[in-house]
Parts: sequence; C-alpha cells; structure tokens
Amino acid sequence: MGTLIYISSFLLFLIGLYCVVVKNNLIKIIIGIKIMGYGVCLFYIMISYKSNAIAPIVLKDAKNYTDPYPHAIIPAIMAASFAAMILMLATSIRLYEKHKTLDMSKIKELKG
Amino acid sequence: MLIFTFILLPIISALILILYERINSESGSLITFATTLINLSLSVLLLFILNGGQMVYHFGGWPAPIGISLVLDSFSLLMLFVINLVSCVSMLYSIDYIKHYDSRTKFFILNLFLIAGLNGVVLAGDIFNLYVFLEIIAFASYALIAFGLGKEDMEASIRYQVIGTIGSFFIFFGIGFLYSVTGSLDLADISKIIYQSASTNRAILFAIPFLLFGFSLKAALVPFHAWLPDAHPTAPAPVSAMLSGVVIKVSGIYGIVRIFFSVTGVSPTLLNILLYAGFISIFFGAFAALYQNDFKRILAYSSISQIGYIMLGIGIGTPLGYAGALLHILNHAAFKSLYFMVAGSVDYATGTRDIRKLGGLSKKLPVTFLASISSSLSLAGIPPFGGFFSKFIIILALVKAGKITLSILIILSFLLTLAYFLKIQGKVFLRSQNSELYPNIKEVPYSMRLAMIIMAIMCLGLGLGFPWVLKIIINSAVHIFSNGVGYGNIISGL
Repeated sequence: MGTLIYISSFLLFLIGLYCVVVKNNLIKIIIGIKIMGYGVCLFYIMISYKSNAIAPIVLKDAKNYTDPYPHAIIPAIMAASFAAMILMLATSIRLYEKHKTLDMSKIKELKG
Repeated sequence: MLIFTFILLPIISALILILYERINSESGSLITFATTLINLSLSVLLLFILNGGQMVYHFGGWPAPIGISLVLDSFSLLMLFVINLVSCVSMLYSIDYIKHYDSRTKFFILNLFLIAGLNGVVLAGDIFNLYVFLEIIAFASYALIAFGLGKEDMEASIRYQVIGTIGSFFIFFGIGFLYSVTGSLDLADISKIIYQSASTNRAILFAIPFLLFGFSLKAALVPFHAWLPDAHPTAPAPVSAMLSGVVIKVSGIYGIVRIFFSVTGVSPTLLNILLYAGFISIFFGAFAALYQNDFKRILAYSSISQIGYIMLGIGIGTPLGYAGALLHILNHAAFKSLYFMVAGSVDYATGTRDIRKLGGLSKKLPVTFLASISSSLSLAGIPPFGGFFSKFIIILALVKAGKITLSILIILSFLLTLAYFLKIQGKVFLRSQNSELYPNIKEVPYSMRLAMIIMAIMCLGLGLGFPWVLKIIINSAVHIFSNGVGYGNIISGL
C-alpha cells in the first residue's frame, strides 16, 4: 500500500510536468504546475508515514509517532506555490490584455 | 549576529520603504544605496577578520541540528562579497537610471528583497532555509523582469516563472529524498550522517539527479538555458547586471557546490557531467552570441558561455581548477555586470538596443566607451585584466589534469569570445560612418557614470591585485572544495 502511494506521488508529479511541457494554453500550464506541487506535497506526507503510528501528540501509552517535521514543511511549500500561482495568473492577465490570447505558441515577441 | 545583519538589514529597509512610499512615492534610492553600502563594507570587513575560519549564528541560542543556524565559511564569504559589491554598484547606477520608469519605490523594494534572498542563500545553514531563500530570489526576479510592463517583459517573465517554478519543485523533491534518508535538514548534520554511514544509500543516488536538474535550471547550463536569453535582456539594466552577475551564480553554482561538494560528497561521474555540461555551454553560448543583433541579448548568451567556464573549472576536480572557477566567479561578476550597465547606458542615451542602428558612439559617450573597453578586455582575457588570470588558471588546470584536447578547444573558444565582443565594439562604439545618426545625445547622468567607473576600476584591479585576491579570498575558499564532506565535522562543533 505504501509503495503504491509513493508511485502515485511520482505519477502526479510527472502528469504535471507533462502538462507543462505539452500544453500551449497558459492556464493549463499553471494548472500543471499546481499538479506538480501536489505531487511533491504527497511525497512529503509519505515520508513521515509509519505503519501503526499515531499523530505526534504525546500520550502516556503510545510509543510510535509519525514524523511531524514534513508536516510542518508542507504549509511552507503550499504558501510558496500559491504565491507562484498568483504571480503567474497576474502576469497572464496582463499578457491577455496585450495579446488577446493565452496561447503561448502565438505569443512570440522574443526571438533569437 | 553580525552575519544575520546581511539578511535583516535589507528586509528592514524594504519594510521602511513600503511605509514611506505612502508619504513620498518618488524616493527610496538613497535608503537602498545606503543599505547596500553598509552590507558591502561589512562583507569587506569580514574578508579581513574571518581569515579562513567559520562563523555560525544560532537563532534563539538553540544548537544546530534542532535549531536553525546561519553559517559563514570562506566560500560563502566570497559569494557574499560578490553579491554585495554588485548590488551596491547597481543600486548606485539605478539612482539615475530608474528615473524614466514609474513607481520607482517598488523597484527598490523588490531589489532589497532580492538582495536579502541572495545573502540568505549563501548564509543558510540548513537546506530548507536555502530553498526558502531561493524562492525569495526567484519571486523578486520574476517581478523585476516584468517591471517594464511591456509585451516583451511580460512574456520573458512568464517563461522564467514557469521554468523557474519547475526547477524549484525539482530541488524540493531532492530535499525530500535527502530528508527521508538522514532525518535531518541541517546541512552540516546531513553531511555528517552521510559521511559516517558505511555504504551509500540508494535514495541519495536518486536525490542527486533531482537536485542537479533543479540547480542546472537555475544556473542556465546548456540543456536548460532557454529562459535566460529572454529574461536577462528584458529586465531594466541594473537588474540585468544583478541577474547575470550574481543571481545565476548564487542560485545555481552555489547550490551545486554546497549540496554536492559539502553535503552528499562528489563522485567522478558527477564531476564529468559538470565538466562536459560546462564545455557544451561555452561553445553554445559563444556561437549563439555571434548571431544576435540585440546588445543585451549578446551579453545574455555570453553569460551562458561564461557560466560554462566556471562549471568546467569546478568539473576538473583539482584545487587549481577550483581556484580558476572561483576567480572566474569574481571576475565574471565584475565584467558582466559592468557590460550590462554599459548596454543600459547606450539604451538610456539613444533609446535602442539594436546594434545595427547604432554606431560611432565612442566620441559622444566617452565614459561609457571606456567602461566598455575595460569590461571587454576582461571578458576576452587580455592581461593585465582580471579575466586573463581566471581563464589562464582554468587552462593550466586542464593541462595539468591531462586533458590536452579539451584545453586546446577551450583556447579556441577564446577566439569566439573575441569575435562577439569585437562585434559589439565595432558596431556600437567605433563604426564612424554612423556617427551622425544620433546628433543630440548626451553622456549619461552622474550616478550611472560613477557606477561604471567603479566597476571598470574593479575589472582592472582584480587583475593587477591578482596575488592579493588569490591570497585573501580564493585560497581559503578552495579549501571548502577540497575538504568535501569534512564540512559537516567542522561546522557542527561550532
């Protein structure tokens, strides 16, 4: 079961990467980047997972805790990828105002 | 506490400027310049007092593997000096340059955050903070590239944003692998755990490609270079100087060296990858630069080529090669940021960057012309300018390592470098038949001139003062490379 979730976190990352590389629409590219971010978050959750462990809260008779450190990191990465998404969407709005399209294959001011 | 100032001071200044902007939306340049000047003088002070040692600052007094720490060693100090030198000069330059943009205070606020991020990356003692500061650099530079709000700026910025974010995710994935093996995020602690374990864990072998991919994207090594020729030319000139002079080195090369040399330990295969990636970058960048007609675009491709020399020097894997690479980091920061300032001055005076429309500017813009000569000679590696010594040491290291064919090819690449800088000089400054094209232009304002003069003297001074540079800055930084994963044992005791 554990291995399956590891593989699925990779798969999610690769699906996102595929979406960024193949798609031309800017909004779809941004969605792809978010999917990549979720893949990484899932991976971090899996790192901290232990079988038969409880949440990292100190109790009297519990011995096996999950690792709380990655859980603390995930909010930071979520904030960072959220900020990235907002900056990208703001830039896309400006691009749309200038070019009247979001198709990256048609936005070609820079060459060489 | 002293090293914490490098990060804290720019952030405090930025917060002051955010409040001050409501009262007076025009100023901010002097506060920014003063901040960078204080940082520069502190880093020069540290050059003399650190003397090959280390400095560690523990936040809140918690010791390292549990608490967060900032670590300053000789290699960090070299990067810190480069960052604060280039940022100080480019802020001096932008006092007058930025006057033809709107919302100037925002420009300075973004720049201060960029500087804070750069200082943070080289000082970070744990890998997660390194990642967070990398993100701060990335966001500040995305916004600064789009600062002109034109069609080109937006397009370059969105491309950089997409590629940069992918690079960040790859780095973050790699960090996850390292954490899953070692159970620690502190660089020194990870290094110690890997050093003491008997056999190499396979997950670390899996983490290395992820980290290499991410940092190569940030350093614009050749298969991953596509964003750089768009992003660097469209930014305002002082920002281009920062991006090419410092940002690609800090977020790319510093990351590669710190993670691979000090933490995971470097293998011959990895060194070979760096060597040949650098080699391809040199030729690709130089050939591509020959075919460009945009002044700043030539310089951007030249940056790819020069980063290749640094990677090549690191990839040789001998102390001499490391010394050449470190010296080239210093020299490239000086001459490439100067060259971007020259391009900005030409743009400021004439309003175009297309070198086919320029010509005969040597008489109209004498200071700019002299500055461009100084940086060109350093770029081409003519003695006694700084660029000569770094390239000479890299060639010497190649010969000593027994790579004769490679060294001959690298010597041939100098001809390509010579060709593209002669193209700039000939078309922009000399070509006399075009001298009547711009009859009414004037030399650029004082602060821009002063900044260019300081950097031009720096280019020459790094060559003339070469023995002292080697003794004070480079020698102790080379030890960081040669010590390798011994880093962990040195730092964690402090």
